Amino acid sequence: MSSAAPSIRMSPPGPDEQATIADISYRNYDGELRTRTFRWWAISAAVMRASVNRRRLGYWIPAAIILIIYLFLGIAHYLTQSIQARVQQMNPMAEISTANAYATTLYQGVTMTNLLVFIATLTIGAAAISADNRANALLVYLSKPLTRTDYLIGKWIGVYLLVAALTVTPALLMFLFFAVSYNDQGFLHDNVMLLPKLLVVSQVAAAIHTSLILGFSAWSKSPRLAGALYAAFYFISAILAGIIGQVLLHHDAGVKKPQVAAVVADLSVSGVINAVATNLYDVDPQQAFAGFQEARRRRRHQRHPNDPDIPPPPGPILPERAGMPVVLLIAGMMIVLPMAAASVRVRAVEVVRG
Amino acid sequence: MPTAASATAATPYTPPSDPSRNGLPNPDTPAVAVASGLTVRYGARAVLQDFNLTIPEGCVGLLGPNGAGKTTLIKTLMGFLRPAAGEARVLGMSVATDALRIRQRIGLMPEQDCHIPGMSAVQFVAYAGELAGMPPAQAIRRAHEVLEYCGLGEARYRDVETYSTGMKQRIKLAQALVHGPKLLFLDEPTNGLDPQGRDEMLDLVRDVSHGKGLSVLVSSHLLPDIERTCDAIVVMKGGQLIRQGRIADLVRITDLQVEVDLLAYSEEFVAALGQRGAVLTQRQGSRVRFTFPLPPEASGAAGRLLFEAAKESGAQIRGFRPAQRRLEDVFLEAIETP
Repeated sequence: MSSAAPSIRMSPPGPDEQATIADISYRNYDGELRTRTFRWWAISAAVMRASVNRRRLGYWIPAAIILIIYLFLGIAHYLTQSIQARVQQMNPMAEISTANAYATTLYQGVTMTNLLVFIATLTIGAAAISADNRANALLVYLSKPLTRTDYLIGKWIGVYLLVAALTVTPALLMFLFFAVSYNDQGFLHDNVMLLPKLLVVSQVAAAIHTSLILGFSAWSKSPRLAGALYAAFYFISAILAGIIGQVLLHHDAGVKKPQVAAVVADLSVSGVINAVATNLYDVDPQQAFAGFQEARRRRRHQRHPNDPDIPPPPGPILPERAGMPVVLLIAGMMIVLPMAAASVRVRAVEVVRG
Repeated sequence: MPTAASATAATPYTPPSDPSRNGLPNPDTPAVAVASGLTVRYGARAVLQDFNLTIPEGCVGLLGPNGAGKTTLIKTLMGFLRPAAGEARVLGMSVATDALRIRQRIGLMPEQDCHIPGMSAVQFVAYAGELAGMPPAQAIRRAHEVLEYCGLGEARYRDVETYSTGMKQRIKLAQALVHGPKLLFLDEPTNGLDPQGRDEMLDLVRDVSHGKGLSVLVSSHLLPDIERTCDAIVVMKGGQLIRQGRIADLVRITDLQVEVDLLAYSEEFVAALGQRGAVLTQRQGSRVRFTFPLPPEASGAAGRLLFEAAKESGAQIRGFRPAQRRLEDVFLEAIETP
């Protein structure tokens, strides 16, 4: 009996036949086209994907160390508070000052993690624009409905969100720890402004790092060169500001020299971030680390038992601190000027003036 | 949510009232770009000076020697350069005020290599779509489509930095097409391609510019490429428009011209033909071209005149045929005209 089953074709269609399995001819797109805000976000999301998805240890290792530092500070804070509470319990007449202890801990977090935030910024931000310069990617970006300001905003938000995650998240976790552990002692009631201050300090730090790295990145075609320039700026400005600040402080000329010296000493990346934190948290930088310095001094003394007395702690390096308006002005310049410089460099076409 | 697309209702193009500006014929088809009295300067130097142009729909070739202002014209139409005087409109929108809306509806394939570093082809093209405003899901779907169309379907997941020159040219075309532009600017699309890659790219350009609702402006130094892909040309020189029209019209010969291959060039032969009313119009070695005072269909009579002149002058004819103008002839004639 003959089978009536349909035959299955095993060969590809011939040259005169049309394959109907897929139509790969060009078709127009007349669908939705979104507004500019979505295009900024597309750039920011691409920056973040490129920075985080590639297992960049230069970002994740500093992030982990920052969390460990905040954990250490939280434990130290808890132990200090517990010991002080025990002492007061044993001797109710003892005078124990806990004023500003929470802000001081947060301030310590900012200063101790500054270098790590810088390293993470270097890793994610150095290539943000310089790699585009090298690959002529600006021709792609700016041939789309984007201005160079849109491009820079997209890049800035992408890098900023990653850096802010390193500065804001641990500080917020610390604040949460304080709120959970010490609310029965009136933490939230007594520190109403601590949360906004924390957010401002963390975001100013992130904004300064972001703008500076993008400024250097825009003027380079090599991510390594951009990173090296930013690193040089970070360290050299800190060293120069410190030296010039000391010279001004110890020089006899000038009536307002302590204030001037304090302003000059803040003219570096770490200097201005610390100055913003000092002013907003209202802490004395010397006192904030007095405990660490005292412990170090005592360790040294134990190594030299023949020393007659424990040497006195060093005097304040800068007796004055720069006022908040001046510090905010410096911080604002560090945010705006690099982006203005980047805006000059980012162009779809090189215009040769003839 | 209001979309940019819904807000981009282009003003319909109205043909200029004086169709014979620059002595050029008015194009039959509607225009996709118009420049009137356009002046673009780099500092004190005017690259385009009082420039008038109407680019019709379809595939148009932009020709001109180096420094003619072709790239400057494209940059101006893209809104990258601000005109010092005059006006340019693309798809009915002014480049001075609507540059972003224009760029949402056009695509650019630049001459230089360009890509977004660290992305595979499909990521790059989808990202280009998102930059143009496409929702991410649509962009990725469309990226697969155009990569398949451009012949990069098999290599779509490879990093663009590992691509060959030919593949990089194709991906530049794909990123320009992804958002469905109505006008495409192609700057030297066959740059650096081997013969097979060039053929394939030209086929793509030809295909995309015919029957797909997409107009294309191709800037190239390679006249055979333009001849193969374009329907019309625009020739520029020194920042001025010197010739424009449909290729078929420009290469058409209206009188009777005959190209003759001689064994050796002979003044006597030329003189003998001159006595019979023919005029020498071109000479290239021993190859000469004559225009006869006869209607185009009278090629038999022209042949008889040739043999009579050869017999009289003693010249030896190796062959002859009705002359045809190539695009190269049109181009050289245009740029050599003072």
